[in-house]
Amino acid sequence: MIVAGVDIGSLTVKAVILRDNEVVATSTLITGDDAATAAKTAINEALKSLAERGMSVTLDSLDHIVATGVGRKEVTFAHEEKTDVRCDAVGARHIFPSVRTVVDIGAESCKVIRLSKKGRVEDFTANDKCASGTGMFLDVLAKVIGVGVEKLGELSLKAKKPAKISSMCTVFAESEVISYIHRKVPIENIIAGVHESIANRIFGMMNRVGVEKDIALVGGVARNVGVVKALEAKVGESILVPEGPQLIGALGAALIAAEACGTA
Amino acid sequence: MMLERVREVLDGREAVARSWKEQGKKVVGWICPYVPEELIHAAGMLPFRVMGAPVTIVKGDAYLYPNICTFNRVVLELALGGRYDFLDGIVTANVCDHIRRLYDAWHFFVETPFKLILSLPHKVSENAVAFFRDELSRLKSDLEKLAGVEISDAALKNSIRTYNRARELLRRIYGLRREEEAPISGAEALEVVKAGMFLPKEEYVALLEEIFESLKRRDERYEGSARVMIAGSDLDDPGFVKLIEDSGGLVVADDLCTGSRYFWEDVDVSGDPLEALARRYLSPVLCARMHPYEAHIEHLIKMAEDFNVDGIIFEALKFCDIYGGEYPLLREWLKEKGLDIPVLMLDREYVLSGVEQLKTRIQAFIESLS
Repeated sequence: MIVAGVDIGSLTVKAVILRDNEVVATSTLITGDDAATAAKTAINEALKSLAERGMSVTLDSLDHIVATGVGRKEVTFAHEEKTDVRCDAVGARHIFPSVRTVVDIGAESCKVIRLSKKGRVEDFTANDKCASGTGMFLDVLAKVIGVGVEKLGELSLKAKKPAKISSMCTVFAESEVISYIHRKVPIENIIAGVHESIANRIFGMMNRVGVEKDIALVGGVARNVGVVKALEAKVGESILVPEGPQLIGALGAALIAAEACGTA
Repeated sequence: MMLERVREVLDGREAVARSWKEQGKKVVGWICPYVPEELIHAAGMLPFRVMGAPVTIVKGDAYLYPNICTFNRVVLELALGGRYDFLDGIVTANVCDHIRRLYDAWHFFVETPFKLILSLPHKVSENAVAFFRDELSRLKSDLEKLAGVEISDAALKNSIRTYNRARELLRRIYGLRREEEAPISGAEALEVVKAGMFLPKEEYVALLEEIFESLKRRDERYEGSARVMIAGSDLDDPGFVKLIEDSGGLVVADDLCTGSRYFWEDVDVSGDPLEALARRYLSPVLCARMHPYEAHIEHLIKMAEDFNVDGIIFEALKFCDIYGGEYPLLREWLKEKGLDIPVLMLDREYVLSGVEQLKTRIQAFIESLS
């Protein structure tokens, strides 16, 4: 029984292939302008790595495909589409069965999901019309600061005194960052300030939904250790981060696909 | 199809008003259902609900603060652009600060011949009823002057009967939605209610009778993976309801001033008609603006239980004080009473926007219900 979950985000598309409930291949690609093609390419990419290991499977022979993410409705070849809220919940619970609160920070979205003891979605909230507290916010500000977005985490850990970013708005925050640069504030302090501002925004959303332990952080931004630390400091609890946090939505989709085939 | 006339009205609501005017009769616009349409009807004029349309706000932003809800800014945009020039009068009530500011701007910058804002008490008490009756009597004499007729008690009672008949029919149509598989979708129901806010009432009553009969015989049935109720701010866009129904939910009830609240309660026909109107329209059912606020929440929950809903989608226009404020009270109420009715809160703009984000949130909510 081989199934796939594919998560079409605003920036990247992720695919996870499961065989008998074991993850056998994954892939991550840039979404580009055609969600359906991107989803197909991502799955094929993952299948290619399977073929290299002697398991020959084609897209058509997959038993079940579930699509999720913002572009999920475009993936016409998928058997089902499920929201990212549901898939995040299923994916995170699979890795951390004790999780009750899932925070997902993606490229253009951030959401907080509260789960019941049994893993049912009890409440959730998501950003609507604003990029603050998302990966795009980090991306814009990393460009201004002049460091690669992947270096932000490590750099911020060296900060002695985080600079305060008071604007919620990405555009205004950008001008605040520029003024700090002009005032020769050490960049690690600025970066730590940016992380704090994300943590503040997310913490506000968490309070809205209500926080239950354990807490997991998923989505691409979870790879930034600075954001994780800043959020832990805000919440006053440790936060679980899975390996490959950007794949959790796709993993959840794949698990739902497996369940549909009756193997879970 | 039975909804043909309804759609025709909604597609060209101004055409309804214009053909009325061609008969030499007047049209009076009303904003917010606290304005007793019966008085306008009894004076031989056409009551016409002032609504927005999908336009970009330019002029509206020049006259109103950005923290006035988009319903009011869109309406002002239309009024300043001449879209409501056919109105002979405009009547509203000081329901919320946002509508008051709309009225201010309308008063100073739009040349409608007759303009009035009713002073509406916040509490329902005998003093408040007496006060509001005075307000209505002022409205009555102003309307008499505008129409050049006198409104007799008999004529007013006659109008009240016509309106009550429409209300009864709408309640019967809503009753069909209690069934497991409803013969009418939520989007269609909203269309049916909305059409009544523009059509001459006699024509509307006849139309409702026809619709009710054909719904009873309708083969087409609607079902969803969850029964949903919508509550909150002014929502007159069937497209928004369709968004929920396309996501797998079936909207079976509402607590909206463009829906059930508009017709849920009758006006008493015995006794002094002005007092009866004052009593009916000073109602906590019409809007959450009334105090004590519990009365409206109780009504909302009774509606949810009556129609056996699985969850409530509560929408508030951005900056709406009344419904932004009612939401946490509702949550608190549900928690205190130990009622397990999940609620999804959505921030909305008057003109449908951010559809993709909305879809994800609605779909995720419906998934969690089923």
